[in-house]
Amino acid sequence: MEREYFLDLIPAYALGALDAEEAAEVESLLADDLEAQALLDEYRLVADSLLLTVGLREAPAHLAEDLQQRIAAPPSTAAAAAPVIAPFQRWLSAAAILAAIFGLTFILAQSQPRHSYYQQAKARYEQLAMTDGILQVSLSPAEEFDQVAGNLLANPADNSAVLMIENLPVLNQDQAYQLWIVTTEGVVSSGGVYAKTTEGPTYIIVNLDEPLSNYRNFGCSLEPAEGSPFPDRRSGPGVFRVALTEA
Amino acid sequence: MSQDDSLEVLLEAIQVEDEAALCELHRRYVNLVYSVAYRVLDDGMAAEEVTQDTFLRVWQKAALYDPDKGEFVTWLLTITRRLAIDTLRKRQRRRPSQPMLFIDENPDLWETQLSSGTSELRRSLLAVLHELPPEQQDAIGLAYFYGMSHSDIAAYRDIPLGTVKTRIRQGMKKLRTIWLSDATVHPKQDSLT
Repeated sequence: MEREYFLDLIPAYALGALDAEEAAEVESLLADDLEAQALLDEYRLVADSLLLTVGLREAPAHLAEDLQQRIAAPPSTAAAAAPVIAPFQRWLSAAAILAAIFGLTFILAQSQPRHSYYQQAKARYEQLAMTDGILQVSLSPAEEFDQVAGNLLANPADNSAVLMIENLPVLNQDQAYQLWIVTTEGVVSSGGVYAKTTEGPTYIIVNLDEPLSNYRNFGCSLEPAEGSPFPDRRSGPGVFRVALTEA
Repeated sequence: MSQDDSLEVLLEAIQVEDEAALCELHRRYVNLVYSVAYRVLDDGMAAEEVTQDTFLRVWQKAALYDPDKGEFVTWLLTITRRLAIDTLRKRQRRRPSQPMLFIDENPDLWETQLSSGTSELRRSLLAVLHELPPEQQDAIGLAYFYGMSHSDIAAYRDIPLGTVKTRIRQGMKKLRTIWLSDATVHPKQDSLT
């Protein structure tokens, strides 16, 4: 590899964008080239600064307690502890059993059954249902999915919201439902991709970063398992819509 | 442990398994870690899992952080980014669902997380990045936030491999040039808290 070409690859190497073969070649040349090493240090600084461009979100409050539980549990019993969050591998067999027992109906796209998410979402919905001042909006199904029904419960006081949907068709492994969130300014973003493999009501926690009044509506579409190829619009048919500004 | 304890004190305490120190570290950095995880995964539950895994890695490997090699927050968020990309690969879901780069969803939230100097740094950086042509922004974002290689990007965008290499090279060179020439863009301390 010519040196000029090698130096031109350093920016991509700093990003982690080189194919394996090129990365190996660059690494072998870096070992003896101090100038290239210094250049790489600069590009790594530039690459890492991209972390600052991430939109900041508030982490869910329960993570603090969950972390305490995980580090407090002895290693031999860590898998038996019941944190809300756990590695996929630990929960796979336990969640599969629980899903069979409790009729789990809601699973994240392309992941193992998430018993804790379903319980959490359902519990949050039930909690909102008993809270004063809650906004309740019925969803409007698309013509093709006219059997779908449900509503959104939202608390303007803390911007928490949960969808409860009935009669969502069960999907095969190549499909998923995708939630869309639309602001009053028309900005569309994905609210997550969800699989559905069993019957029963579906609960989805809608993560809101802004006050509820800043949102126009939520929507749901039927997509490939990995979600819409478009970052800001559906590629498949609409399933239902929840209009907030008309509420 | 309290919010007045320095980072160095916290990390030393974590190395002797002081749980309160880890919890304080979690309190200080959890929003940043979660945000990076969410940026990659676009999935709240998966982002939560990566967030917790990040802090468990710190719990296990705090001794590996070397201040001479860079800022702590960079080390921390790099762990997050790699864990998130690994999760993405395991789920075989490599198609980004967010627009590439520079989604300033909550600028007000950043202001409460950063010192005034670093807030200025972030604004300068965003201005710099927005000067790049969209296709260069896109290629850099796919590589950095989704772990895509040149070949992956070429296949995903259905463009020649050479075009991808050029976009990344030119975009990063431009960033580096502006980065080096702007005094406000060089972080000199752990100023992301």
